Amino acid sequence: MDHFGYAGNILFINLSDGKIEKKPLDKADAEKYLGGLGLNNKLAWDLIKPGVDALAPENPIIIGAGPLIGTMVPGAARVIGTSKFPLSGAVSAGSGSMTFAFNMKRAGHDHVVITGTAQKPVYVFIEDDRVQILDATDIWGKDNYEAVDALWKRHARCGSISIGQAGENLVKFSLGMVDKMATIGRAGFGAIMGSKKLKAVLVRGSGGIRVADPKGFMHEVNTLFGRARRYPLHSAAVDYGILNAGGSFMLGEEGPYGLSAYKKLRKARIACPSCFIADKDMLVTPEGEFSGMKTYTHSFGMVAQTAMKGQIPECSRATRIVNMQNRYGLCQQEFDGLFDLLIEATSKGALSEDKVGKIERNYETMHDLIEKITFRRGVGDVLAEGWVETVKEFGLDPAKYTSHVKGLGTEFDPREKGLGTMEFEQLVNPRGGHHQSGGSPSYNQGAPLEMFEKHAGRMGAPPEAVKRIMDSPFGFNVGRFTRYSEDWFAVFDSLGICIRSQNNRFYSADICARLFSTATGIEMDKTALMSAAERVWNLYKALNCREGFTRKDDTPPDKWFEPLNAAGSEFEMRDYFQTRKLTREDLKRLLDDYYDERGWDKRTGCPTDEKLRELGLDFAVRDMP
Amino acid sequence: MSFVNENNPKILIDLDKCTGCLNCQLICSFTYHDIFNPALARIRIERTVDDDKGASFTDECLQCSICADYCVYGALSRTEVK
Ligand code: SF4
Ligand code: SF4
Repeated sequence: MDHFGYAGNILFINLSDGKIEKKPLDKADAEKYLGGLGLNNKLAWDLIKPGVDALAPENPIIIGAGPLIGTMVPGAARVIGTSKFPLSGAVSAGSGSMTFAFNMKRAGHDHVVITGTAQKPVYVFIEDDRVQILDATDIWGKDNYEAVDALWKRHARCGSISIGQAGENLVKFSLGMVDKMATIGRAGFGAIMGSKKLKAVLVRGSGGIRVADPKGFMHEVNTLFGRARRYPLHSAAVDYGILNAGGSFMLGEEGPYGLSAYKKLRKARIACPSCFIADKDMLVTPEGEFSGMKTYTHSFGMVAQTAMKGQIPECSRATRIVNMQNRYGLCQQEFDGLFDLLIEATSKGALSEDKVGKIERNYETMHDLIEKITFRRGVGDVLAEGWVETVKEFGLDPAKYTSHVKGLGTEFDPREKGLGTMEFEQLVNPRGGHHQSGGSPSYNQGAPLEMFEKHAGRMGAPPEAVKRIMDSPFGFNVGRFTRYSEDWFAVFDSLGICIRSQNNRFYSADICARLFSTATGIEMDKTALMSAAERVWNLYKALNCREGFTRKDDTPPDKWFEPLNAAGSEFEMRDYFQTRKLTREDLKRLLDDYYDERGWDKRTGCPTDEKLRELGLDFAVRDMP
Repeated sequence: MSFVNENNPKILIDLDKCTGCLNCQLICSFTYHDIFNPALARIRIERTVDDDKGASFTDECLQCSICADYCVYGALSRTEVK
């Protein structure tokens, strides 16, 4: 095929026998599944044996980079890692950023598939067509920063996905780090690499990406650059990253985590290739106990969140916690959830100190638990298995103490801001309680109703669907809306563009279709693009229906129906506009609406035969419940 | 601290503002070689393992300043008004 947009190849690496093979990308597949997330799904369908153990050698790691990566499309730098994840047992697609996908494309590979298990620790080094499996014995046992620094000193700086000790020790919520700065795969991507004795994958490319219609393509890119430049809050977005709240710093000016503290800590802002927001921070602790400590993070908000969770008044100590989590490759979100579980269960007397040690909201407890989980010592060995195993082991009532969907903690609690699309998405996301694919104006509090209608249109929802969405006693129907948020996300993760609201606000379905067409030379209008996105998401769901997931796995956590005690008040789950309290019956109806909007079977929560056939996914029909 | 590189006195470089987005390299290679490839750009952007940054222009730089127009971070700016 002519290589426009795409690099044109898929690289297969088998760690068991060392076999390396390069296959051309199939043009028909590219048109059908776009790339990135979409083509990863198709590869997963062909390569993942249903029921396979997530940590077995046969479970593949599928890394994908979309067709717009390597070009100047703003924020086109996403790398998608698909595999069966150990925390949920779901076939999941983790998503990361920085320079890995960019280098992969420049090296000539749209996808890299890694299977098998090495005998001893190894790392993979891809330099254009040259692929080597190299000895990693000397860096096994080192954290992400130490290991990657050692590898970069050996091979010079390049794209990297690495694991820390949490991944090596198969912690079920270990993740991979991209270029030491971005995370990928919160539900155990690190453990999958660890099970393969794969410490890191490095990639460097020297090539470039051509586009089919340079003039047409740059017209779209220039439109996006123009929009960003004219956006009144662009400089605030550049300055504050994702902590930009309408032009001011989300955490205020003064105080331990305010703007002045942040500025003292921040040594550099780092961007992914082609991004015009630059959300990565290099923090350097200026003085005291951790003087000179370097921490890379995608947001200073991670530090502030840790400080609040652990009631840690010293900024340097909260930064240290984030630093440890990133070095070890431990998911902060899952850790915070389990930390809350221990606090709650011990304070209510359901769990005693002799079982778990002294548990308090402070730096020492957090520090101690991170060490114990990462190295699987004592209670850490139980916690490392995640929510389900933890409550089982300690004999706790899951309804009272857990808040997860398919094993993934639900970070977006609808009792706080109401049931917006991100909160709802945690129920229906095939990979479990994860919010990222459910974006909408409900991400922020106080969005006006008109904004929802406009947003749905921008995401390519057809006018009749927008009508259905807006016909609701709650202002908008969150179940119906979420379907289109997912499809919109599928476009972004398949083409390779960053979905962050600071970036996606400049895009529309029309622009995405024109970018795809002018880059790849495959003509596609908005309707065709959105139907490809629907296909991508249906296949994602089908992959998990094939694993045995059904509607019962989309059940909301019991906790959502109990009042939340916070700041001296009680909060109940309400809709986004706070019209009224939501009941189990309401949630059931909203789920019905979601499946209906998807054209799925309400009983099983899975795609119907007709839907799969309509989308050209006939091969999946016989595997549905 | 801003500086100019001898190969292109028309652009002022402020490394503190450089985020490494590489848009300058991408637009340069695309303008002159019809391909997005930093290796073919006439501006060099570097970042060491220790996070030290560098920027310079090669001998082939035509001093067209297009790269500066695509730097949204203000790390590159034209010394002359268009
Ligand atoms: S465009 Fe500007 S910020 Fe980006 S790499 Fe070039 S000089 Fe640095
Ligand atoms: S001034 Fe022109 S030729 Fe020189 S690096 Fe910038 S874009 Fe390239």
